Amino acid sequence: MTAVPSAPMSRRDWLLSDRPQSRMQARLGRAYMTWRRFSANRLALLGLGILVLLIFMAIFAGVLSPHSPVTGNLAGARLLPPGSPGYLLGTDEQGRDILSRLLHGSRLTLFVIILVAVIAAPTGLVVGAVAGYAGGWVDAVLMRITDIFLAFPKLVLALALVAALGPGIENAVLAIAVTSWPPYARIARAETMTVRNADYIAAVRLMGASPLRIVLLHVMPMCLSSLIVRITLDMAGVILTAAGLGFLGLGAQPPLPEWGAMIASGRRFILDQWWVATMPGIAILLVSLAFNLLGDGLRDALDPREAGQ
Amino acid sequence: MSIAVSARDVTVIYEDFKALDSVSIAVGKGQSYGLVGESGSGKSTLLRAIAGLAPVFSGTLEVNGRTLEPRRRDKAFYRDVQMVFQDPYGSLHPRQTIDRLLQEPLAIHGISDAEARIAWALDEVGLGTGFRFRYSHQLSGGQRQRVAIARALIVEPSILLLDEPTSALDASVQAEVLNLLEQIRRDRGLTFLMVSHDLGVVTHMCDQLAVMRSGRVVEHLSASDLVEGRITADYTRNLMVASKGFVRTPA
Amino acid sequence: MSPLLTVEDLRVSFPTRTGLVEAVRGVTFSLGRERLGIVGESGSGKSQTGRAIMGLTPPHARITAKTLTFDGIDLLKASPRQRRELRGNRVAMILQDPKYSLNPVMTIGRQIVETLRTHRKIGASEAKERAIAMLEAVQIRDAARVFDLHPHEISGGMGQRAMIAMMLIAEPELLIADEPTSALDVTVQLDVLAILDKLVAERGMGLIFVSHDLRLVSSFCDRVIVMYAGRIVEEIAAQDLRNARHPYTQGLLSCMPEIGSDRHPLPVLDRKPEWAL
Repeated sequence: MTAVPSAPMSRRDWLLSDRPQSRMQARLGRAYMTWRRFSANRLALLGLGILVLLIFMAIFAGVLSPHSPVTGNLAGARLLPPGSPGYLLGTDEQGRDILSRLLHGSRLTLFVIILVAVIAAPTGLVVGAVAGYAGGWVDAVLMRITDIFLAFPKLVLALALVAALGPGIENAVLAIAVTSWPPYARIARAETMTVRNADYIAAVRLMGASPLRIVLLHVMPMCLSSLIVRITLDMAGVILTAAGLGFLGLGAQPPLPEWGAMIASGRRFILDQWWVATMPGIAILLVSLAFNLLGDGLRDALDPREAGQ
Repeated sequence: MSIAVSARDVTVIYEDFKALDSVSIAVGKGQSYGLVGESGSGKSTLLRAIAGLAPVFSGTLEVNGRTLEPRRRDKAFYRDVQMVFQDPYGSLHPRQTIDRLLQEPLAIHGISDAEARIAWALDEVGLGTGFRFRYSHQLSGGQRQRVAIARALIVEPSILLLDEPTSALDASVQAEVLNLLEQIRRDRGLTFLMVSHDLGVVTHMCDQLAVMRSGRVVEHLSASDLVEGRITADYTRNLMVASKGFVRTPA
Repeated sequence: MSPLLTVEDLRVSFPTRTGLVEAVRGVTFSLGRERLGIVGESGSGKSQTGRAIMGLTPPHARITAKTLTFDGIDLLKASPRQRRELRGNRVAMILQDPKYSLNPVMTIGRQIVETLRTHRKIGASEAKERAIAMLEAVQIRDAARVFDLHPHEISGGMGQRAMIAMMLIAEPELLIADEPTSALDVTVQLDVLAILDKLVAERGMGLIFVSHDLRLVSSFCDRVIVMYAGRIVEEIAAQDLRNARHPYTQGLLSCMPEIGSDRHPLPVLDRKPEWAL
């Protein structure tokens, strides 16, 4: 056998090579394999598509909106039905364009999702991984704290927190984040328990690695994929909780175009002007569904037990 | 001959179970010492106790003349003593490339010239740099075990603990790995402490051995004692017979 | 006497992302009431051969053969129902690890009785009697007590014996044992083999013993098939193994360290690409 490559490699062959020549190629190859597993799932792609659209909408809300999301045309355009000239999805009781409000509302939705993910996931991961790896009283203390949070219904706890902190979108986010980390801690702990006695962790211990290093660099990466899947699946719930708090008047305050608050204000006209409450409802439904589809796809693609490939 | 590893009356207790019951061995520097026994004999437990992975209840462990604390080991210890595990499928992190695996010990001990060392370690175990950026699931069992050996060697230890390093491998691959281990020992003057259930492997690799059963040492003997049948314990004799294969008793 | 099992040109392949992987590539042999060993290293197709005969290949695999008959029944054309009736009744299989093949939430006794009663129309009390007798036959002391135990309450060696008892209770004519003793300690291993040997001899079963351990197989079986890369490279009577012709068989035999033979370094197998052709 000669070492000279017979033909120039295609990009695909380069990615799928079982003899990567650099760290970069190995990593890209792995990402590509994950992508191939993920993209084999049509519904997951659809979910991803909807979310990409959401992000696009949020970024370009200012350009895309035909009208202002906060100030309406009280005199000439109150409660117009969908399809009215200039108001594709109709208007609400203050004459505000619903489409523009939805577009700007997507920013709030993304804000909530990202902040909750950024606060809750790392908290849960750290608490769970440390508890699982350390064991003993550390585990007992951390897990009892987790249990206390789990003992309350999520929405009730969030309500209490918002009531204490005062209504507002930031406090709503904080309340949701504080109530949603415990399940992540449980998952991270369970994953940690399965890997902590693995030989490859023992091997790192035998190199003299500190417990902190083992948890951060060797245990946590093993928890990540199941955590990502779980967070994605939970996002639908987070959106609904945020909408619920908004609906109860404890989340975003008027005139912010938060989707839940929009439903709340449209509730009064649900029988005669159905579109006021329905349009934000559909938006919430679509985004929640997209996250669920994405989560399902990620579960297959990121399964750490893929081992072989 | 000075002593590299010694265990005196070491007892290990897991919950209520006595995994090791006052076991004593002494391994000379540069020697290759074998621990033979069946499952539950405590042979792996002794290895793990030396490595600091098993709770030592009583007794003394010494490595290169230094007495070890029951649980804690310092970094210097791990530059002296390294271990190769039984299951090549479980001992390599599934999400790390070989490169990353081999970098870890160097990073922990603050050893420079990582690039050169990794290339050299892979070369020494006969893998070459083509394997460097692969993930462990892209390797065969034998190749994985070579990576595990490279990882142990990269910090240049003087003592290697081998926990059934070839029992999960095919016979032909086992021969290759055993040859590699012997070669490395010769080249670097390493001390081996090797655990195996296979008398053939142990007598091939080791000059001195201890036969263990339910947490105790049944017999200390040299490989030549075993070959020439100078055996005192019945249990060792049984093991000898069993390792020869099935014998049909005429009905 | 016509052979119990005839296998001609058996092929098993698995479709994967990268194309069709052939695990077994044209295996031909026949089996009478004898002990046949199939030896090979991992990936040689030895286990897949056994599983294909048993009908335990994963559903996405493709199995073809010119002939695959058990006692005149074409196994490839048999309906799933027919195959189920054969399995456990006339053909049985012992797997490597009893931990994974015994149901953890059912007592040993109930599992054996259940196997028996699926294939034989007999009463509950008689079934129990026969199950206990079978447990005694595989040399489990205190069989009546073991009958009521769950799999986690017994040792590996005893679990494997219970497994054998379960497989043999319906008195199969063909037994396929896939590494039946690899998870056991050497001394226990020989006990289990002795039991198997006795039962095979007494009941006139055909036995296919699949293993990676050439030395063990040759000491136990009458005839040995050596597989490499999905093909049979050599078929030889066990007592002639020392005079094996194929370099792979010779290599397998010589690469194992032996007590008393001082070979440093051990001879290693030089795999020739033409063996896999």
